[in-house]
Amino acid sequence: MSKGNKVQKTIIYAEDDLDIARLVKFKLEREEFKVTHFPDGEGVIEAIIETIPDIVLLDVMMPLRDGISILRDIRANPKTVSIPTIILSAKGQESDVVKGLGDGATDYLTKPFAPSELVARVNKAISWQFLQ
Amino acid sequence: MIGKFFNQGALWTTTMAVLALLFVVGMLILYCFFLRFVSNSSKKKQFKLYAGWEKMVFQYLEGEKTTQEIMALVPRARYAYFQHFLKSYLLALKGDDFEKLSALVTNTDLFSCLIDQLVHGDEQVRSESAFFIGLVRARQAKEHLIRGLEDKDEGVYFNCALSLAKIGAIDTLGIILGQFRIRKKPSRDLLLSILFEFGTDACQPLLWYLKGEPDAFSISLIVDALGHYRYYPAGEEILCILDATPGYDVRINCIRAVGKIEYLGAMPSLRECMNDADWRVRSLAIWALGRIGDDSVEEELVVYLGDENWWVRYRAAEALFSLSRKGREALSVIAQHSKNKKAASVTRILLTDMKVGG
Amino acid sequence: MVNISIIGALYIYNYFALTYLLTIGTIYFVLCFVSFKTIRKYSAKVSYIDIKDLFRYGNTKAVSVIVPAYNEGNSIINSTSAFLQLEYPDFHVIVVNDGSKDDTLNNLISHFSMKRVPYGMVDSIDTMPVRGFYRSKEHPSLLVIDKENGGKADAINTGINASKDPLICVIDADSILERDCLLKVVRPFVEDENVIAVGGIVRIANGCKVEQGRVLEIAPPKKFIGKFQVVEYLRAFLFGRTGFDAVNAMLIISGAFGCFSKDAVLKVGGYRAGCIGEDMELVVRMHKILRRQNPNTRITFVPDPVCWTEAPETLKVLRSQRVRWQKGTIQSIMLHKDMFLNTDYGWVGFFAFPYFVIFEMLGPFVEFSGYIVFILSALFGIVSLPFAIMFLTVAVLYGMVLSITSVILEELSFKKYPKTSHLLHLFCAAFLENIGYRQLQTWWRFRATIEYAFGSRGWGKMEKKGVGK
Repeated sequence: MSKGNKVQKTIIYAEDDLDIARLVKFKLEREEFKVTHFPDGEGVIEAIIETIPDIVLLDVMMPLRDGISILRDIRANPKTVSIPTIILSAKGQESDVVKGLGDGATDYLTKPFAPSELVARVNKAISWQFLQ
Repeated sequence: MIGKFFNQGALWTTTMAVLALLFVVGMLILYCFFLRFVSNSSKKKQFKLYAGWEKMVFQYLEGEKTTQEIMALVPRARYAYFQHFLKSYLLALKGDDFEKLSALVTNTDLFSCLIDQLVHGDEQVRSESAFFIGLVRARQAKEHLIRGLEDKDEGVYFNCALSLAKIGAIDTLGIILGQFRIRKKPSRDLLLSILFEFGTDACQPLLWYLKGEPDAFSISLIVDALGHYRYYPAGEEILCILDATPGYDVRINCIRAVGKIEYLGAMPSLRECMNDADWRVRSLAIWALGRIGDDSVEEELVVYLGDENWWVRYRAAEALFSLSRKGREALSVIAQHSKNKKAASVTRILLTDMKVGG
Repeated sequence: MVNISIIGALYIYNYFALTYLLTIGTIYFVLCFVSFKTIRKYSAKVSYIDIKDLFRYGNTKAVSVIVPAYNEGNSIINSTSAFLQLEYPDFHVIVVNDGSKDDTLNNLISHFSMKRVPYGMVDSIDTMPVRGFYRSKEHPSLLVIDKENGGKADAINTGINASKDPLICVIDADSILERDCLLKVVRPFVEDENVIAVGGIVRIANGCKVEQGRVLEIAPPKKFIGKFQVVEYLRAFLFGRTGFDAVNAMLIISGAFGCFSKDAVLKVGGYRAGCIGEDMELVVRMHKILRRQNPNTRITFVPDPVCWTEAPETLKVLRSQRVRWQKGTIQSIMLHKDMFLNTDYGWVGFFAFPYFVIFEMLGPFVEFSGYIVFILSALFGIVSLPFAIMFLTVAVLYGMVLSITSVILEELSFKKYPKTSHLLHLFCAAFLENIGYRQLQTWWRFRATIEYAFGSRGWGKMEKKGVGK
């Protein structure tokens, strides 16, 4: 995977657990993604509309705005409706997962999670998007 | 006159007492600022330390550093900090990265340090290290954890049991259940969380223990756990207990469990429970029948919409709603036209709940 | 002859007042240290077990957050949105519009796109009639109840009637809750089945940076009247209540933030409508009725689920608030006076209740008359200089030591105020609080007690500014 011959994919990632966010960001950047991280739900949807990232990762439980409601906004806007979106939720919030998939999440992951799995799912979501 | 009771000496003593008090207060304030200063600087230090570790540990996760290289950077005096640093990652991760991080604890000096704390620390330290041992899934600490189950302190015992569950030491389930029976503490919810932590592997042994369990409290716990796992093979045994036990606490848990398991064989007993004098038994039995999908009770359920207890009425409405289209239609008619106020009210609530969600 | 006996009486009274002040101070001192130990133990426990960990398997206890609202049109949207964003796996928000005369209800309906729905009640505590229920598809966990005006207790009871959850959390419409406070306040219920009520600490939001019903930055109030209250709250909540809690004798859970087992509230018949201090009255009644049924019943206090509230910033509003509190305390005590020194209630009967009677109810009398007698005695030269110094030391300096200790203990435990300069402000306030402010409180409470005794039991209005503007 060399730089240059490939356009860098952009990710918007909202997560309030900062330690984990740094690790995930580190892992994704190693895979040549450009990651913009938000520590809470504020301003996420605006940034998504403005930059139209290749993929969005949303934590369900966040201060200021929860992931599910951001997801609904993504799907409600014709500009962003087709952006693949992955939901991250804590164990014990399976109902959120159901809600998230119902509201148009591309994929989901429950915590605790393996970062390599997250990267794999991000790649999968993007390539599917590409095929469609 | 009376004032002369006090001579000069008394005046002097009082003044000194006042001054002493003032002095003490002043020192306390200074001490406080000193503490603030110390905590600020240690926070800064901690921040720097963590930032350094974070960089190293990320590289380590990518395979660019070895365990020894990392641990060389962490002096023994900083183990407590390092433990704290690792905690948030250990809680949120699984898979390869988790294994690698836990190896930082289990394959190094840190581990013997943890065991030492578990054996010799004060209550707080013992609890904490028991918890941490479970967090890193240190199977080699099993014997120490088992000994910890006998600890006088409730917190230590609880954390040891939790950690044994996390490392998957199913063979210790019997000892843990024995402790439950004796202590009946901390609380049902916490004890259940231990059983849940074992995962589905515990079902078979739990069923085995259930058959010989004499204690009502433990029976309810085990039944609850089996229900949570929806362990179908346990259905028959739980049903036997339901039919044979008079105690409400046990019966209620049994009904909930067969409902969760959706044990078909329970239907006749559940139908009988619908007539029980206790409203909790009635409402749960109705709920369970609704879950299992027994549509033979539909007509009877309509009667229960007028039960004296709200929960019985609500569960009946819920069951009718989930059982069939016919049931749903009946509900909307009742909501609008029934003369029975209780039935109409509860149906309206249910229909709105179903429409709105939540 | 007459003269001498008057002088003698004054003299004795002076000593009595002195002893009294010394006793109350010492009791507080002991409470302080008991609480300090409790808090240290609590913080250590919290720091290593993730509260969310306890709820991983869906064995959570669902909570209904009940928000009584009367003329809260300015702030209701912000506060309701903030309540809906709390971090807890399973909860509902029930806003009860208590016949507001402003646009509270309309604001809610339009902002949350709510619709009037056919609905009903779960339980049946007597309340004023309900005019309508409102729900919304976008916010399934929100329920708005519109009812005829009946006062705060009545509104809360209506909310309780509509709740399906085993726990209820009662808060003021202008309270600002920290996001994880439900997790923390529910924890005692999970850890011990005998817990029926949990109070949380209330802190003062004045001076903090507040946006959309959330505290973004913590700072002490700018005005001294606010800072005094911060110190006062620290003393009362952090150290007073934790101390009482250590012996399971807590008699107050603030109306601004408390969590109850719904069953327990129903068993005692809900809040008492028309009561001035409905929050204290409920807790006293719970002790009275439920501890008799189950001696292990616990009513407890958790020092760190934080609720922020706006404190009065003018003397006039502050006075009416304090008058109301004093009257509420007296009323709660008088309604349950048979608990006084009653062996059935353990520490409540022998410590907490007498404490409230002697120091909270009668305190202002003794203190106020003590000051008057002291001044008179000093004017007539009855007391000696050493006694005068002693009296002032106990009355003022001892109070200062207590206030300062409260600030120090806060610093040793929670350290909520981030800057060192904040600490300086608090110490200044702790120092000055005892010169004037506390005496003013005594005077207000004295008058409230007199007023109560002579029949004026009015509510006293509290004017509020909207939070988060």
